[in-house]
Amino acid sequence: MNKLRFSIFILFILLFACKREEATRWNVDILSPVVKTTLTIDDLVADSILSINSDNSVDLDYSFSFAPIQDELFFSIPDTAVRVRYGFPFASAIQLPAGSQFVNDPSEESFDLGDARIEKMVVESGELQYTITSFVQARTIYTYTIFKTSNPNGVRFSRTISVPAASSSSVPAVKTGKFNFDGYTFDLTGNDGTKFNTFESEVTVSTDPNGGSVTVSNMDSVFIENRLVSLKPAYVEGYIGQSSFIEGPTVNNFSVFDQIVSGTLDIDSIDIFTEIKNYVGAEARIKIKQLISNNSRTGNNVPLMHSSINNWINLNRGIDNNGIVNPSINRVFYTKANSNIDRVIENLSDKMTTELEAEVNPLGNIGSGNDFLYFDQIIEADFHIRLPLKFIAKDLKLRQKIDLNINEDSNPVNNALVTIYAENGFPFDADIQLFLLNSSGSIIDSVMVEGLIRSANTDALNVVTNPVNSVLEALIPANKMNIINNNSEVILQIIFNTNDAPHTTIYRDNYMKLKLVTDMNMEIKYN
Amino acid sequence: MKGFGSIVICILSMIFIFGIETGYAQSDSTAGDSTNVLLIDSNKDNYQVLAAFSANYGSTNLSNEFMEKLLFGGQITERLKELAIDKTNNRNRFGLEVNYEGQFVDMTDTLVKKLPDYHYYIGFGSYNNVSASYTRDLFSTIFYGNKQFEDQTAKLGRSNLTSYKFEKLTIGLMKKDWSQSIGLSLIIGDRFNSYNFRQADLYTAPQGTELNMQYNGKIRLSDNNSRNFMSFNGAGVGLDYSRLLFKRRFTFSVTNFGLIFWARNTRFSNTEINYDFDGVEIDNIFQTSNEEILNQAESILPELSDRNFVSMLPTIIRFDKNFDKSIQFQSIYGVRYKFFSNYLPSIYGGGSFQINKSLRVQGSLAWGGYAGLRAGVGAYYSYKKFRAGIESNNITGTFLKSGNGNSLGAYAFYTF
Repeated sequence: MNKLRFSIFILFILLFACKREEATRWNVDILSPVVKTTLTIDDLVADSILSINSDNSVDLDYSFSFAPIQDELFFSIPDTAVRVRYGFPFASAIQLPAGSQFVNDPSEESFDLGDARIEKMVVESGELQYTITSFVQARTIYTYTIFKTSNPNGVRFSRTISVPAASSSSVPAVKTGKFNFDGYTFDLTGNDGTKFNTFESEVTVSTDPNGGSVTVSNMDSVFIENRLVSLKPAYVEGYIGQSSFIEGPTVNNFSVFDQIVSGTLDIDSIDIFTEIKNYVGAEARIKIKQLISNNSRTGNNVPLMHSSINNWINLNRGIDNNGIVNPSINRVFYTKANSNIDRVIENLSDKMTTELEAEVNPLGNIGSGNDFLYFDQIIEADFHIRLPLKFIAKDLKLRQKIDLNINEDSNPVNNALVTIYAENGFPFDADIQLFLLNSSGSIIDSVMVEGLIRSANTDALNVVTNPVNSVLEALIPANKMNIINNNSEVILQIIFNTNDAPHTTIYRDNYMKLKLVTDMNMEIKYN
Repeated sequence: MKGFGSIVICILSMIFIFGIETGYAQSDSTAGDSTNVLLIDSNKDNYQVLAAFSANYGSTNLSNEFMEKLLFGGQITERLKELAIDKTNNRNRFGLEVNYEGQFVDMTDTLVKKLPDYHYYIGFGSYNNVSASYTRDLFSTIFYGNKQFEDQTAKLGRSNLTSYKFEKLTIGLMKKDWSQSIGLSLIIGDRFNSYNFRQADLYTAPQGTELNMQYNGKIRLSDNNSRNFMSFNGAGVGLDYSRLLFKRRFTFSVTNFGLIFWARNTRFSNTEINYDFDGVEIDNIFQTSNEEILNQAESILPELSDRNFVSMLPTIIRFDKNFDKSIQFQSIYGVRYKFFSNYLPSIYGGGSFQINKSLRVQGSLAWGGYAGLRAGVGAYYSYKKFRAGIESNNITGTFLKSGNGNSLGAYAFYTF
């Protein structure tokens, strides 16, 4: 009877609801290829550091910049204020007709730039802030002009301000505002053209030409305060003064070997140098105080030993070619013979610690005031590595984190036997293992891959003659699949081994074809 | 982790489940009572109202427990699968029908003056049908996976899965002596999903290194975003006809003969594909995702285009022996067939026993349709101007452990 009631219930459900209380689920066994891919050196190394030679061999061309030298270290222009009071020199009141000019005051002001003697300056940004306080009981017109300036259109800086009448002799009219100097060029040689850091300006005040006549006396005054604020130069000319600074120690990321966790890499040859470019139109010198290879995984640090370390490197001035600066270039080469650079590189560092000191015009104004400085190009120091992929690898272990972007819903696989079919055209063996992570990124388990991707067959020079096929298998039981589903990130570890000798060269046409086939039990589930 | 094999099986499963979770069919009744025949004294009564519903599902190889898991959710265990595969033949069927109907007959009037011997009637019906006809290999691949077919070809083709849901509004004429009726219906299409795999040979290479699919099939899908009651995804016309024959001893009827035009957000495919699959090609194995693999795998499946199509209604033809209430014990028998519904012609036979003036019972055996051999029972009650009946055409499915279906139908009508 229960069964009958159940059936009737089911039929009612069918009729009126047709809703599922839970998902329908069952398990199936799938045997299917999943993915295939062809790996070349382009997939293993970022294009930006790959360099292909004429014989199709491959170089890594990697560089990193030392921390950039900040333009603020040279000089900054302090805010400059000019405050003046103008009064009427009349003991008794007089009538001024409309449009009468009663102030005309040219003056020179100087920037405090230390020992620098700047004759020309192009302003990147900055502004003139003004406050005008007028006791004149009529509208007045103020004009502020800076001589020997021009904007990109060749127009001199001049601004006119209309100030309303004071309410009474004791309640002045106050007018404030600002103008920006962006893009203006300043001739800083003063009125007579022989000075430096100096500009000439003029204030004129007149009564409103459209107003009536005005009665003024010596009780009527005008206060003007102008401030040049936040002037940031884009370019200066003259003598830029002496300056020195120390940059660092700075820890720089060094990503060439950051996937290598252990093993030895015997590199056949390597070009490594520091390239220093001086874009400043003044003599300079630079000292590399330290350059240390840091392997944060092993904790091993190898400082570079070379004659340039802690010694000054003189830099000639750059040459301004109509706005395009040709820098002076110095390269300091590191070789096995003159340094311990092989040990620095073979430390397989993931960080580089650098510290440098620089001086501009160390000998003073030997350029007779013909220095220049573009503030967007100063002194650059880059560390370069040109590494031919010709090496002997011994248990060279690379690890890369991969996010499979899966979870329990998207990956209903209960367990799987993954078979990897490899056709290896690279001249090295590869041993693969997968590490499983917890949510905090720590390794908590692994998937052993049985088998080895065997090296391609090579000739006496270790050049690939034909690829070799290998089959590998990895069993992923349910408990490990759960870990993957809980945290889809895994670490793929590959251990490379080349022949001992001679050094193995990687060519661009080397490849490895991989095909993954799964024999898996998965759950089909539908709501 | 999913490969082409899993994609194929997932999609086949989806088709199977998708069909099953929705469903149609006209009554599978063996009771002549529900056709009103011989029971109405039209000379005295003016009107008649009728309400009926029927629901049944059945399969030639699936047990009730299996089907209940399919329909209502739950784990289909290995034991259930084994029971099903043991009963699976080269050709297997599954069907589900749920429908309800209402009818009003005005015995005082006729709409057509030139046909004074006819009453008119109006009716409404809702029909929900899911059916499948499938090979052993298709069933086995869906529920066991393709691993069993390593170095073999699974013949998934010559399988058909159809899912229908529609409503109809009918106006018709019924002869005063109930010997003949004809009705014309406006059909409101809610859902039509049809997967016709003429050929689908899936070869799994040794070690699963490659799959080959030779596919030739037609897929027609209506708008699956909106398939509720009276959703008008399609529209059509239908015709119902019934007639008493051989001195009113038999009834011949045709129900839902017609078609539907599907024109809203339809999807269509009629393609032949021969596809070798040896893995989804990815650019960089270090920078790929499961989503990318799935997208690429799905892109190799038959492409569906936006194209309108026409489908025939699941037309039912039946021929039933009527019973005579003046005879206490008598035989009943008949035959029923439903077109376009993966239906096997169904025959039934049994006996009817009039217990007293008000109560009659009957029993029958039926074979065909969706569920193979089965027994049916029914009880019918009449009192003055009220008639009602309840029946099951698969009572064996309900009570036997090896049951492979359930059925329940009921009707009532009243004349006044």
